[in-house]
Amino acid sequence: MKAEKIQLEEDEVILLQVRKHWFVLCVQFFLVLFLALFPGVFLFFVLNSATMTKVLPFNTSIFIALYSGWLIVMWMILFSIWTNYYLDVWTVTNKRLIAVNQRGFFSRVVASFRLERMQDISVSVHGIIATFLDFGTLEIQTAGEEGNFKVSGVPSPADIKAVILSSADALIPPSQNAKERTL
Amino acid sequence: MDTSITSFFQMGVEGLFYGLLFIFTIHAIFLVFHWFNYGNNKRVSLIALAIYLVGGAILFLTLSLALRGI
Repeated sequence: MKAEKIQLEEDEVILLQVRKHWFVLCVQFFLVLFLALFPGVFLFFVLNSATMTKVLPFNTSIFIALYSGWLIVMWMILFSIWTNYYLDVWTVTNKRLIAVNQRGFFSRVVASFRLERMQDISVSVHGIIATFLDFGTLEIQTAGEEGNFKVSGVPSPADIKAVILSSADALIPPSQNAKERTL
Repeated sequence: MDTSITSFFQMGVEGLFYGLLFIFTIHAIFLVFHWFNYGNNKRVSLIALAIYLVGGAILFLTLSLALRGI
């Protein structure tokens, strides 16, 4: 598997791997579920309506055939959503952060930066559900060309921030740490 | 039911069946490629594939049985 082929450096250890919060996935799944059920009810009433039955007597087989066709489409969409969820991974090691962003089937961005290049890390949690279920947005500013890393829907963002910060602190030489503390 | 309307529907649903089967196959190939190349857990990928194929097979079976009933 290509994910296992991430070349870890000497003494580099994977600290955590993070995917989006399950609630983010559930919202998308419920939307698909609604889209799957709604046309069934709609199709039943259209095929069973007085005007339609004059032209075409209600045929259960036609209804089942059309509706199962629709469900197959929804089934494929459901798994496409899950694939996006499954392949979007943030890996935090004691030296780097590797962010994989899968956008559909044909767009995949794998970015990484060294933790010592991190300048600022911020966590934002908005809304009742996000507060209670503990998920939010994690944004990391880096020095250099890497730019900003932002991921939304992350579970326990404060804990992840703590892990990243402690790893980054461990990488900075003690003399520099002391200098930063005095400033 | 009028036989011309019946045959029209039968043809349409048959076309739908083969069209969806083609799309489903291509989609399954894409999914398998992504899950087994980029996924980080082979077991999860295998379970997902099994669910996807079994669910798909049930739906296609339903569609083909309905097609026979028209």
